[in-house]
Amino acid sequence: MEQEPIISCLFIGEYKTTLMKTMYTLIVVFILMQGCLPETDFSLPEPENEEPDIAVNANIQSLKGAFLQSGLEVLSFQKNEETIIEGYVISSDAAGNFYKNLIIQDEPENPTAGIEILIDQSDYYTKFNFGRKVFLKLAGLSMTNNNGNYTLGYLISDEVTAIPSAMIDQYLVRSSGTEKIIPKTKELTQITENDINTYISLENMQFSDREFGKTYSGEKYDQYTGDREIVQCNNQLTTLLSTSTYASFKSSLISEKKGTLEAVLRKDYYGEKYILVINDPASISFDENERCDPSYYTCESNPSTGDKVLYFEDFETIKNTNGLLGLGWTNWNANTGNCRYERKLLNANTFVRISAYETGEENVETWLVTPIINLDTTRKEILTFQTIGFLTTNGAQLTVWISSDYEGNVKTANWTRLRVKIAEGAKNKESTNYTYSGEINLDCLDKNVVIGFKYLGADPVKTTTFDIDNILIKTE
Amino acid sequence: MKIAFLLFSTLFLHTSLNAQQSVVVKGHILDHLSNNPVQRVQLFLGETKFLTQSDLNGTFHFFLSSNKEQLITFSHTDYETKNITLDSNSIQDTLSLGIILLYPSTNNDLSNIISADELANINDENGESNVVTGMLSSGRDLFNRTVSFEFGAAFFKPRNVNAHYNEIALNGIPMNKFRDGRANWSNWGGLNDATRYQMISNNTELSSFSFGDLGSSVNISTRPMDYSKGFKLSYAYSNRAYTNRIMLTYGSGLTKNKWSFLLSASHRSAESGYKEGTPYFANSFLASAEKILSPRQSLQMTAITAQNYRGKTSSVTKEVFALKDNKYNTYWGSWDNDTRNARTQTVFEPLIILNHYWTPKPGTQVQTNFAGQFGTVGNTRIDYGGSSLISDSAGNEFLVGGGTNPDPSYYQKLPSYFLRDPENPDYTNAYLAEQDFLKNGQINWNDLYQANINNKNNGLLSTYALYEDKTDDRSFWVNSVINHKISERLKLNAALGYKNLMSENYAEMSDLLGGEGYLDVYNFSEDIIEAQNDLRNPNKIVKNEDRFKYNYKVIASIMNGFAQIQYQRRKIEAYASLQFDRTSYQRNGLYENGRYPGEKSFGKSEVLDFMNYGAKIGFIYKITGRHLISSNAFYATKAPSIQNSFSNIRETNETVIDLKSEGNLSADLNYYFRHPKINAKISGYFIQQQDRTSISFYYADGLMNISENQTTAFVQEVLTGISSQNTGMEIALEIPVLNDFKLTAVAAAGQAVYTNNPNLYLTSDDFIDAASFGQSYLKNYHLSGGPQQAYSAGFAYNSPRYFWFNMTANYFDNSFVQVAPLLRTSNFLMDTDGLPINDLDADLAKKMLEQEKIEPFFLVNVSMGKSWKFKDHYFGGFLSVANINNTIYKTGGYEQSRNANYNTLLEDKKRQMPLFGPKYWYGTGTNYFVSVYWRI
Repeated sequence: MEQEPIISCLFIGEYKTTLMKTMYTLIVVFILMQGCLPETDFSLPEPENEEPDIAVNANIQSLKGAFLQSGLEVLSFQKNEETIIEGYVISSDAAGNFYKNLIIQDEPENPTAGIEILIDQSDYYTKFNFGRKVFLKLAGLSMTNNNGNYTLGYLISDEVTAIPSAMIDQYLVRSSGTEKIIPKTKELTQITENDINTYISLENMQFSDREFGKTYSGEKYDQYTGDREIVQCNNQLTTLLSTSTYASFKSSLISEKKGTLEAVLRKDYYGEKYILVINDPASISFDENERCDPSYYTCESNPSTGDKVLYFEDFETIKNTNGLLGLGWTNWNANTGNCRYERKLLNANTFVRISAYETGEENVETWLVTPIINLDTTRKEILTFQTIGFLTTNGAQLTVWISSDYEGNVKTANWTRLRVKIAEGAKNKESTNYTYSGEINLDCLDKNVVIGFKYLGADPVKTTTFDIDNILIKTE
Repeated sequence: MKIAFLLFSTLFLHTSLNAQQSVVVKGHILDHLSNNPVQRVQLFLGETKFLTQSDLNGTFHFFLSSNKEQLITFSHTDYETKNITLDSNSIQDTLSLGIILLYPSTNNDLSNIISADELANINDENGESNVVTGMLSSGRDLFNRTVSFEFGAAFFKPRNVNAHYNEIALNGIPMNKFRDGRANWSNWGGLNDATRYQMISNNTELSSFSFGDLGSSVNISTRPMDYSKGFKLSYAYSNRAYTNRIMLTYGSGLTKNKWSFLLSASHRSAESGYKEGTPYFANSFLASAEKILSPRQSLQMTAITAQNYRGKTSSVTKEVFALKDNKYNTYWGSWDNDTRNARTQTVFEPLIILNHYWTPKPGTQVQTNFAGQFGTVGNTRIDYGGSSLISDSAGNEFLVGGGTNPDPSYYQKLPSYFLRDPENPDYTNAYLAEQDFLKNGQINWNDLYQANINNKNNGLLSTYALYEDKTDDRSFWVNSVINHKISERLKLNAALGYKNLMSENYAEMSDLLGGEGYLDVYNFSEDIIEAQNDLRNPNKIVKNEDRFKYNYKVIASIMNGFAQIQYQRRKIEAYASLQFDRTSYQRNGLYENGRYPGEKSFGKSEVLDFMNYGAKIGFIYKITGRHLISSNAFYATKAPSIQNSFSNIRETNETVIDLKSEGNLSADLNYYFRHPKINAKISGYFIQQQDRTSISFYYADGLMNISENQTTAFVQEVLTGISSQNTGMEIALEIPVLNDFKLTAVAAAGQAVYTNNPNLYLTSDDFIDAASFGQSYLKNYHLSGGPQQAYSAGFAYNSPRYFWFNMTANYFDNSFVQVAPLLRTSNFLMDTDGLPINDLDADLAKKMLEQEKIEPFFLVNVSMGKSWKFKDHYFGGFLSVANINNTIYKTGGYEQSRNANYNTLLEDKKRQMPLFGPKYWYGTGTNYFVSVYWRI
């Protein structure tokens, strides 16, 4: 009990002043410290705008020349070779339509050559942006050519593959400058191999009407890419707009209007045909409503509800292709070739088939024309038929036409195109389900008519196979 | 005045003055160094039954029946525990024990080694938090002490009970959060010297202030009266969570005008902790003042502000570990000539507590508490999906952009990725990737900045951005506890409480990393409308400190009550408690999410309402003074936490299907043996949990029944109706060999397993309806999170010359990797067409789904301390070296859910180095902690 005063004096006594003062000071310091946190406001880096000191001693074109001269399948540049080229980036993977392949051309305007560089880097748009000037040091890289598509990359197991991500900086150096890329205006008739991997502009372009309602590459049958037929109005030539199924815009609908398109000209995967690849949909400026489609047969009257059969053909009665003639059909190759419609029997079903595949014919135009059908005594006739497509995205085309003055010569008759639905098949898989043509109202026509099935194809680039069956005209 | 002191010194403690007993034991307790009296020393009979505590003058008295030998324990947080055996022969009417000297405890500095908030470092993203260490730093119980100081580094959980079942209260205010059920120790971290006065109830034992939960309960007191007078300054240096720590604490004792104060401040910092790139910075401050209003009433106010900033650490696969080491952390990279961690956590949640103590009549005490807390918890991370908006000539809008994952250990950057095709391994790229990872292997901040700057120069928005997931909580509490002595044998405890939370949650842009702005869309959506994070503010361009991504409020409240009867006789003590609570949650979406338009995300969700109840009973039976038996039984239902109630709370109002309260059952039986030659405690326990819910988020690959074309998706996995069972034994032995030398041995051998096959469903932005996967066959798999078996043996030397030395060897086993529930559903056996896989090898499937056991490991720890006295000044020093044998060990791990199907998993397992093998957290190697203090 006697100790109590001792304890009390600990803080009331001599220590009080100094101790409490110290305490108060420290407490104030601590309170002030509450507001401080370590540095989280970081400074910005210096923008990399210093021009690298690199002397260019070759160009894309000379590179291609060297490749051809070597006669090799793969040309490797030795480690001590000091070949350096420059180029301008014309591809962008921002929308996912390019992936780990960078396309450069030799000039920002009026390029004479372009080349593909494989790099193991996704989202390269943040570094090698569209229009960026780059230097490429070739020592250690390899080059190959696939039907005009020249590719640079890193050789692993005798294969030109992507430059490993850790090595990209040592081969591919950015210049500080980004140039405006002026696309070269081209007609489809003028395209040559030199234009591959360059940025071009095509005017008067429109998607073929058979592509209406489709997305860029979001259809069920699109594998790796969605290939949409696109037509240049001046010359009615077609090519394909090829879009990756990984593109961010893959599920957007294609435009039904006409206009200008800017794209990288490329070769398809097999090196067989030209394709167009856009960086993003902003490259498509289709703002003219007037299209340049061929005119279609139209008939405004009310459709029929009748079920009387005026004409029906399921080909079950014929035993061979010649049997078609017996039925009154015409099977005519417009050129000198032999590619014609053939009678087929599959799963106890007989139908006719046409394909340019392995015919060796570079230009196939083949017509299959029905016998003459008289519409005078009937009203409200409806035409239907069924088709199957195999490799429809391969580019060959089946169109259906009608004529009222056909006298046995396809060339001299006047044909009007019918708006029908033709089968689309999976790219690599034969479809087994028939596509229904839709009901075509023939009520506006009288007299004698024929229906013509026109096939346009080419071996080996447009080889789509089509099957036709169950041609039916019903009436009231 | 003395009466007031006595009164206050006995508040809320189970005094058991028994007038019927005839022997009065008296004594006087002094500090061995200073000879000053020591107040508030707690006296226990046989270490368990509280007798009394010493008063301001260090004196005590209690009544005791004459009963052979009696062991009396003197316990105080600042002193070495002392045991005195009373011989029956010496007992007369009055027994004076004379002066009892207590040695200032240097051991007690053990509680300074680790603050629980520092340990939280390890289990950031996926692991279950095991932070119990801080609350069990009681010096009295060998088992608890061992769990805290020896088992803590291995993330051992007593009885395998998860951290959120431990109830943590501060001055009677329960601090467990609605969000995850856990208390955030950072809220008072570093204030070790002002929070060391703790009332602990182990497991489901009796607690006088609350009903408790399945785990332990602790009530931390910052009451100035509970802390000794004086001033203490300490400095510590360590290579664990932080490098430097300064702590300053001042206790005023009672001043003449009946005020008392407790002030404490601390600062902790590190450029990096043990793991690479883990900065640490914490400032804490506590001020508590108490005013005695009358002999029967007293008022206390406490204010705590604790600011904590730290860099987090990643889990890694075996492949990454083999290339790096146990210090490797993927979350940082060099920037500004400094290390910069992309995943930092900032906690700042100041707290004010008001306590009113009232003794309306002797034997009845009422404590009423009010508290308010407001503040922010923020966690940063890098977003790499920044997009820009472009439009075509028709005005259609498209998103372009997106970046690559900046994580240096992203699977596509590791050697295994290039060797993934066993038929055609790409050794060149694998080698290059390995060299690159060894050389760099950290976040490349410069690349991120340059990408954004380049975008800016080309009219695009940021691809990369650093943002913070923020939670602004405002909580308010009021509760009242009554402690009433009905008779000498019967005591009543009762409480009523209410807590309300208003929580605002959102993402905030921290740093555009050199970019112009960030487009607030979800760039994986193909549709521009669907991509909107906030339909009411479409295509918003986010600048620094703007909110984006998600924004919602949650209102939560709990009302609870509890009542408890305590019964005491000479041989037996028993208690019975009942409790109820009503918990409710409601989400209020502030953004209308494009993937969940309308009320699905915007506005208020349904109100989730849970009615819970609980009951527990227990007893202690004293066979003799040396043999005691106790037993406790507990059953209570408990509302799921907010994070387990909403399936995707950031984006939608959707609540978990078939959500209900969980049911928790626990029973234990304990035997104590007290003898001068041996102290032993043996416990057996049984815990059963039912209807638990758990939600996790991940990117799944190999989903077979979500849609026709898609087998991958970022999903929320909801597991409901989980049942589990924990059983085991706990043994603690203390054998004093010599006066100052004792041997200790502790064993905790348990088993915690799932006991049923819970239901699993997935939700995702990528598919509309929840996809049910039926049962997940988890039965008999082990629960993860720490070793289920832990053993410790060691010795303690306590020199009378104020020096002590401890050494223990610890062995840990039966720690299991968390299994991925999705892999245990029928999805695993399904082919892409939804039909069973044809060439399935059932034995192989079984083998692949076997749970991985983490290799057992062994840790040797040493600690020592010394103290000196110089006039009225005390100096002390303390050194602890843990894992002296530098064992490299895993503290936990989890399977990745990416390969959700037999074929994909088989393909991955066949690889020499799997792409998506389990990820692990690695423990620290040899680490040290040195501290010195000065006290007057």
